[in-house]
Amino acid sequence: MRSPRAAIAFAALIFLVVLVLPGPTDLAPGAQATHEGDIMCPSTPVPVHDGFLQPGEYRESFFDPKTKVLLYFNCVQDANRTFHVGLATPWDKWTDLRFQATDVWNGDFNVVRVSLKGESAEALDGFMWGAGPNFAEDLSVGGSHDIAGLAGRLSSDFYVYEFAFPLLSSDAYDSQLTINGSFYFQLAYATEMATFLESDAHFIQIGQVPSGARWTSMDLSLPRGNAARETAEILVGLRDDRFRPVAFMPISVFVRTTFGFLDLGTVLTNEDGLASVPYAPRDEGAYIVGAAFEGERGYLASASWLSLVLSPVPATPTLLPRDLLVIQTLIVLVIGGVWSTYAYSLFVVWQGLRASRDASSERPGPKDEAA
Amino acid sequence: MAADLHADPILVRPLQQTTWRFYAVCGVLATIVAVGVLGYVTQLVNGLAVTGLNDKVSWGLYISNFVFFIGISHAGTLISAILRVSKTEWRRPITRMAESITVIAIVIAAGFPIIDMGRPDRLIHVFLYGRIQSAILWDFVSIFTYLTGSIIYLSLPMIPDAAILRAKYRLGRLRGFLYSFLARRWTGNRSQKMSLEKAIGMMAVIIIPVAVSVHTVVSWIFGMTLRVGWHTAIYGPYFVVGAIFSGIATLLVAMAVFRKVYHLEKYITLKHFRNLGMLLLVLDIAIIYFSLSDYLTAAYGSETQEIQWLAALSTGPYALLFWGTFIGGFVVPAFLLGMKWTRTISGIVVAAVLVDIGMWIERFLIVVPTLAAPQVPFDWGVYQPTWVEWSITAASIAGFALLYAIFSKVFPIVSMWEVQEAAEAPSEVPAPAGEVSE
Repeated sequence: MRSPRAAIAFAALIFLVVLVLPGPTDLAPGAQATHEGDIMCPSTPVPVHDGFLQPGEYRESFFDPKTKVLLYFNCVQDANRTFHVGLATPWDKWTDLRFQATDVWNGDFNVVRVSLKGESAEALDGFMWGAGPNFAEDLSVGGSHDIAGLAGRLSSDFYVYEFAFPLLSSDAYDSQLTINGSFYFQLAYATEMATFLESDAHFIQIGQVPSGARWTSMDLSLPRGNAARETAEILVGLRDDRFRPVAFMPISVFVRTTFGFLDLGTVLTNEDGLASVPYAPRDEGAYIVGAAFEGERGYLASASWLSLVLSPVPATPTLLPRDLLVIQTLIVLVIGGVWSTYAYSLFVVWQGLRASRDASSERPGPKDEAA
Repeated sequence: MAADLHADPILVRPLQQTTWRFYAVCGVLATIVAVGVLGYVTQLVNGLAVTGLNDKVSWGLYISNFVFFIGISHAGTLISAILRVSKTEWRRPITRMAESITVIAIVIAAGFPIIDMGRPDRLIHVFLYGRIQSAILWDFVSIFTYLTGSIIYLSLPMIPDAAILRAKYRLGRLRGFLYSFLARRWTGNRSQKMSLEKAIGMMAVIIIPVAVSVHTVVSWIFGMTLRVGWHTAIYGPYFVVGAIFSGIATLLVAMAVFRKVYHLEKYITLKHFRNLGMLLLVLDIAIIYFSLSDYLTAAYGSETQEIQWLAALSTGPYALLFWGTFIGGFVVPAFLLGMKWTRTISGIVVAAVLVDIGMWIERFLIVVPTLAAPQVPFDWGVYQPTWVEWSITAASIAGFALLYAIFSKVFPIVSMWEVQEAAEAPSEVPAPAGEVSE
């Protein structure tokens, strides 16, 4: 092969041959959301929108593991098919509930965006087109504000909202669901980074027979551990609407941080409805610790959040000064040796040059001798 | 003795004659450098927000370039120092090319951590608050030591050549001053020559461990963190072998360019390409071995995060780069270097170019996917370099070529006295001391 072109062509040939060889299999297939809940429109009392979620007030619940937002559903078979929602979220900015807008799903969402400003809650009634995640407030595009009964409050370390909106609205930018069946919804929240993160799409059934599921409540406490690098014990208790322990149920425990959630794992409640998880954060600061039961075997979902404030601990260096002294001495000796060699090399050359000058100035050279 | 030495006109001609093509190439390179300077000024004014760096991927192209240039700086060490210590004669025409690659590459590489800092004024903090436990401080010290040693090691063998040029040629005031400064008092007598060879010998011995330490310490910056993909004991030798690998490839490309442009066919022969090509092949096999060992160990453990990292490399967003590097940068060059009928100058240079490209991408794949991989179950980091980073990267490569081209116009790119010494070796072999006294 004499020419570069032939070499390049040959290289390309080998590249292509090796490229089409079988590659490794997919090592990490993506997970799929599988949650399915039911929503009924029974003849039960309408939920009271006061910012407090009471046992029996809502008939169905849903906890989204990705957004950590807990939803309670109820609907009323009036002319508007009013949909009542209770929402508990650890997020201090806005939280979205996006609900299917049309009978035939085309990706359009009716959006209720809630947040807490000071002591009072505020809500935006909006719309998102399926073609892209572009949010527009209904009022700005010619629609109306149809959110009713908005209430909200800060409960210890999480935010509670209650509101209602029509599933069968006259507003073209709200849901216009005339039939019963499966409807999509999605949750989203604003993060610290001025963007938002959203859940996978879930769906609920409307128009089913009431399931008779039981309300649950969760207690979260930190019996020990209040300093960084000390193991804190997170204790979770799960009870039903009669305050009886709910045993052998999976509880997810997680910590909210600036960039998302750190999952600490899933534990089962014992016969007393209790479970504990150790947690040893490295750094001091305030952490929002959460625990959630996603609902199972006739029990509704519930979640709880708690603030964990860890005080700083004095830094403990891994090496003591006397240990470092040995390492420092070694490093200094090695580096000093290298630099000494540099200096000596230059000295040797300089000495050679100097000796030459001395020799030429003090001793007669061959030409001088000849002269 | 300067008078005794004579210069081959072929070696001096590049210093005497400069064609318009040289100025055109330098103009293009300087323009690319200027665009890079503009990019850096933009970054200085607006901060690192103009780059694609973020809270997760805080080392991107800049640190990839840093590792790459430190790697190719090993060319000088291996070719010159090791071959000099082992008294390999065929090294003589290529030692200066190799040594100058080292110095220029370190100068370029040393700038990247400063660029990556975003606040160059905080460099002083290394001196004020540097901690001996920090691998960053070790890196700073070792690079500075290596740079100093490399400059000395490059300068010492230039003294006799400077004396020849000072004595016999008029090459302008600036170069004349430079030659006079370097060759002060140099007459080339036996005593001076022995002193010089002793000093060069000492520097050759000491620069080898210094060079190995530099890339080992660079690898420790990664390896001593607890990050998936980095925290492995194999990184020290892996980085050193990779550095010499890319260094030899760069030297081969430089040899081919200078051979063609300066008509050095008499000095740089097929033998040089084949010998270095064989060395490149050995290192290629070594780098394939290290890569397989590293990835296989990570995959076999099946730790969740390591599997995610490997999946991102092998089948995820970095798959094209990963397999492209492995096949195009490692496997294909091995074939080109290994088969007899492709072991020509063209074949070897194509292999060297592929190795250089492959090793740059390999450095990128070491830095970015590992930082993007979440250490806790958070989202993956996303890194998309901006024009600022690309322009600075292009400027670094152009700057490297520009400095190298300018160097070749100031000093002979082939060491004149060393090749002459080789040619006259049989008649200059000194008699043993005992025989002289007799």
